[in-house]
Amino acid sequence: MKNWLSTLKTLIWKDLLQEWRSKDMLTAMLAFAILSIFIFNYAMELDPRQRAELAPGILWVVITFSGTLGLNRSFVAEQEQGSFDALVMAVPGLGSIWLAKQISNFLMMLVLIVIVLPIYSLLYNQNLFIPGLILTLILGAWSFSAAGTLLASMTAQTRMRDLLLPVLLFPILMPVNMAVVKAGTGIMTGAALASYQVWLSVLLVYGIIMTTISLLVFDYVILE
Amino acid sequence: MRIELQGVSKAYGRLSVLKNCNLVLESGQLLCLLGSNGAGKTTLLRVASGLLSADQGKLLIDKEEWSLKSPEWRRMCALVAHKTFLYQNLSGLENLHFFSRLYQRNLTEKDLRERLAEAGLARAGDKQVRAYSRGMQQRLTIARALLSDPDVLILDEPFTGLDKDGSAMLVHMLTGLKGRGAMILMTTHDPQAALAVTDGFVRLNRGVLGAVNWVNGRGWKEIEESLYAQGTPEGQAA
Repeated sequence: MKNWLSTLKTLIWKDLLQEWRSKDMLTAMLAFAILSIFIFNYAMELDPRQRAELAPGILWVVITFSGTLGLNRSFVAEQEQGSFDALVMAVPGLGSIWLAKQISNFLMMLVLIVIVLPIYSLLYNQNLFIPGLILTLILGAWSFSAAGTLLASMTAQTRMRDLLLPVLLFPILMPVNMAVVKAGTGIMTGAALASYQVWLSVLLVYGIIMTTISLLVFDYVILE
Repeated sequence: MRIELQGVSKAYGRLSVLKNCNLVLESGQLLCLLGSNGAGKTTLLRVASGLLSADQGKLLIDKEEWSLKSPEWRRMCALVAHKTFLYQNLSGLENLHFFSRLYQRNLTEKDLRERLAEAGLARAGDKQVRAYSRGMQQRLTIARALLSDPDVLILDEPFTGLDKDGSAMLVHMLTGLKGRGAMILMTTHDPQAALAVTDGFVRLNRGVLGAVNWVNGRGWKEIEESLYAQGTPEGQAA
């Protein structure tokens, strides 16, 4: 277990250091996210009630689309010089490769959320720093990166990865998308917890199931 | 130690790339795999290193059957392939540090710098790999592969990109590895460069592996004649 954790830490350190130096993922994600928020802001004239109802939806669309760009970039370093093979040979449990990449992608999503929330709040004159909404986005980001990292590891080996990843990912993410938007809208409009609690449970369960499945099938995905 | 690959076959769809290949390697031996482009050399090396599933075949280590896909087997092997397996945004030292930690080798910075110096990269250790020339990357690739002190070293065209000094360094490293009992399987298009350390040559022709031609002090011309005069061993053709 100690070795497993040490391997995990080493893999995450490598991913973060690579990203810090190259800024491949963050640049693509942030540029897209900020542009999208501006476009939504100019495209829609909303009154305060509509803003509260639509904010979680707009925010989640921006986060998932930007996140998909990041996911596509997340395996580039491994593909560039074939270092994924070296990881497979060096790491005893291949699940740790997936988990490390998943945690790195999740951290990138958190950075994205941390930057996007104040910009959105400023442009729409709306306070989004509500603990319930932030928790919903964090749960959504975990589920998104869990499913996305597994699919990105498969599509990274194909020539059409930029197209293939969203086509495969978004149908699988339907429960997450619905849950984030429904729970977020409930929180933003001040509805009772009981009315959206089920959606938070969906997010939690989806995240656990997707994490477990990914850990179980990653060996097969990589070696077959 | 003795490892045996028995009856290894691999097809991509209807294209049969490896046909019932058998290979034996013993401690301290270096076998050189020859064959034209598309003969199946890289596929055989990837199957042997556990990175690619074989359709058929088994691995025996000291007559005990092992799975070619087992993590234990993969960790016994080290592979130098066409791609460098290096992270371009990390320095040479950081790459070695990263892989040494994955292998739980706990090598200190001093140890790693010594490895870099052995590979002729003492002064380039802190530069990012993307600033390295092809030859420097190949030197670092070899140093990376040797970090785990592997029992089995698999090399796919390791002389690619190396200058005269680099080739001499590689031959020196291979001699050292053989001396400590490692088994080495290597492909090359320049068999004469490897002759000094090679124990035997084996030819892969359209997925069919021939018998081993042992060097036994013979010159390359003589080996080449017997290697190419040799027909396909009976029972190996598909």
